[in-house]
Amino acid sequence: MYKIVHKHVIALDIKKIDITAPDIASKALPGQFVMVMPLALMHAIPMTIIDHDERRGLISLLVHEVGPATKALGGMSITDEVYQVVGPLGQAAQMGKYGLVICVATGIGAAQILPVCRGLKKRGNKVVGIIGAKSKKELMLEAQMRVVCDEIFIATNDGSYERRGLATTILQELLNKYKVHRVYAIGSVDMMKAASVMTREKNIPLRVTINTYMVNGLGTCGSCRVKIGGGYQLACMDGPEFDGHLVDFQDLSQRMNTSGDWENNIRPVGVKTTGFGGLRRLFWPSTKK
Amino acid sequence: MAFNKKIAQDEARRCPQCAEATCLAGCPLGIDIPGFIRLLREGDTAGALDRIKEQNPFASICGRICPAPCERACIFYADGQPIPIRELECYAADNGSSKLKTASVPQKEKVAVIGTGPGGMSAAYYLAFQNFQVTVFEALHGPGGTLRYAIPDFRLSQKVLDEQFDLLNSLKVEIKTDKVFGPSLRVDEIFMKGYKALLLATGASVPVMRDIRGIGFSGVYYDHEFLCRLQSIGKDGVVAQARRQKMPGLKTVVIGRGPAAFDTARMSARLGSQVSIIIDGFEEETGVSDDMRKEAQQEGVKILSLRLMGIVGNDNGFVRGVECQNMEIIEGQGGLKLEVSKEAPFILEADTVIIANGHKPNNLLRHYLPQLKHDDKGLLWTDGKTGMTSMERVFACGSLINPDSSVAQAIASGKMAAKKIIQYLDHEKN
Repeated sequence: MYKIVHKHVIALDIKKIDITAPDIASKALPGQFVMVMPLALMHAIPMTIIDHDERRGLISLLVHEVGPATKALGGMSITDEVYQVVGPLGQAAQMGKYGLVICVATGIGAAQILPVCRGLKKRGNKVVGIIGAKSKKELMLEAQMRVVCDEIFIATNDGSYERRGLATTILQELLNKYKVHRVYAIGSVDMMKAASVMTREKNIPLRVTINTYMVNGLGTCGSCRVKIGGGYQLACMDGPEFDGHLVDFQDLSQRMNTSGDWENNIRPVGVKTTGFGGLRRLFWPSTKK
Repeated sequence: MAFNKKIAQDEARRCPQCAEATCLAGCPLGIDIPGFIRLLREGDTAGALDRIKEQNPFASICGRICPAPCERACIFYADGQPIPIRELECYAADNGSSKLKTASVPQKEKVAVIGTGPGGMSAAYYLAFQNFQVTVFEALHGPGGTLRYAIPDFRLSQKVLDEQFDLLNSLKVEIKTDKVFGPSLRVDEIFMKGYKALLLATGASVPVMRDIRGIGFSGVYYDHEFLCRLQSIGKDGVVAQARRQKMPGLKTVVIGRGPAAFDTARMSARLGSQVSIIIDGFEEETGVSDDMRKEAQQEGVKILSLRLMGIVGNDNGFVRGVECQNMEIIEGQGGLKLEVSKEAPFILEADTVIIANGHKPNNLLRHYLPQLKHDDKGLLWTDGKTGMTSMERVFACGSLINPDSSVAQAIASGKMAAKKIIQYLDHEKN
């Protein structure tokens, strides 16, 4: 049912895939995500819907291959079927007509900011995008961002493309220069924390999107809890977008490493690994839906 | 632990068949307890099962995980040897074959039920039994709700749970998984498809977050979080197996006193961890049945009476231990009491801390049905007479209106909601 119809590599270890899911495509809003279980008996991974095509019933996802589940999803080919896709989940990003809006993203956050920029642009805002990446190889969605943003700034940490430095440096410069009405920040905790400090000084509203560890994205367990203004809220139900000035970033950075490194280094043990064929037999559901 | 025929009959014979049976008052479902025990005594297991199933369609679930308030109400409870009603129910469910009718052709109105937990299951059963066309929507990949993801395998196996859904299937109940009420299934959509009534049985699953010092350290889990990660749908997969090895660590401390605390404690004890449960009171004051407490202690779970002061971690942000204070027994008015001693607090070493502090419903209804009325405690409001929420044709049952209810209470609540829905639809027709 959830067939992969299109797939291409857009950056180092990052692939964009289109999946047929008409029910989800007809309801998705910017900022919402889906839980994807690539093969049976794997854990589900939360993924932002970066684009949706209602007419063809397609949703686009960006796969960053870091763990076993994302690697399995990245390894699937066109016409393969994804085992399970649940969504759209979470609350849509807050949107309206504000004026000048800056959207900052680092790393995989660029995938999450793209639908937000698109929505903001549609509502008549002037959208300025800032993308930060480690190097040119890891920079992604530049072309798409250039289409939806009025102006775009790019920073790479090693200086291999455009400006050398951090995305937050550019943000600071822009905040000093112009009257900004709102900032959206998605990316590493350090970046969002820095953005929070900068915007609070100037009293500019900030929205941040939080990617805490999720088990099933349905509000059943509370592992994605975030401390917001003293109380805990769930990123899967009440988020993933929150007011950036209320988030407790120290708590958040602790929460982000809860799964530990071991979760990303799991290999099938005691199984003959004869290429993907063997893995495929291992993971593939015996009872297909 | 399952009874064989001899033990079951012996235990059933022990029942004095009181004229005014006290156990009846204990059962939220109103099962005819002396009646089915009498049938068991005569060796009529099928008859006993039918007698149970008149009130409780899911006897094999309740026979395993019910906290058995009936045993506490038994007149032999004070002697320490109550009639093992729960185990007898389990025996009847496993060995008897029900003669009640199962197949029926649904021809009445369409009813939608959200959630396949105990409440939703029982409501679907009773509605389908009255020939309504029932569709149950489940957000997760496998039906069962809390019974599947938050009850460990050793208490309720997946096979037993699947049997219950076979029973529902035989009643032509349609179960649709992967459908999240709210974002992927709107209310107006349900009514547009021709459903005449909607029952919300989404339950209470989000842990009540307690503000304990140091709760943000890595290695601190909530009960459902811990069980979900080990037990979620991919539990046979590579990831879940690796988690089973790594997650519980070597020393686990469980904070809490309900059934969920004991489930998580036993789960990590079985995975090879040294487990202690900290409760703020006497050992006997834990909110679970004596059987369950003894079973946990047999498996190596220690129950300590300590006052929790906070959680301490190391420089890397991982849990190092739990800071607590000893309790002293003090004789005061109204018997013995426990009070915090004057000694300095000490650190109980642990690499995993699990907090089991009760659950509340998630915010889904507040986000997607903001017009629903909530009472001052923050729970969903329902009309006492009709069972309806403040929205026409929308009903609610289970933990949504009574949080932390036991499985038997949830089944009873689902049964009641089904009755109310039938009443409403019949009234509407005339």
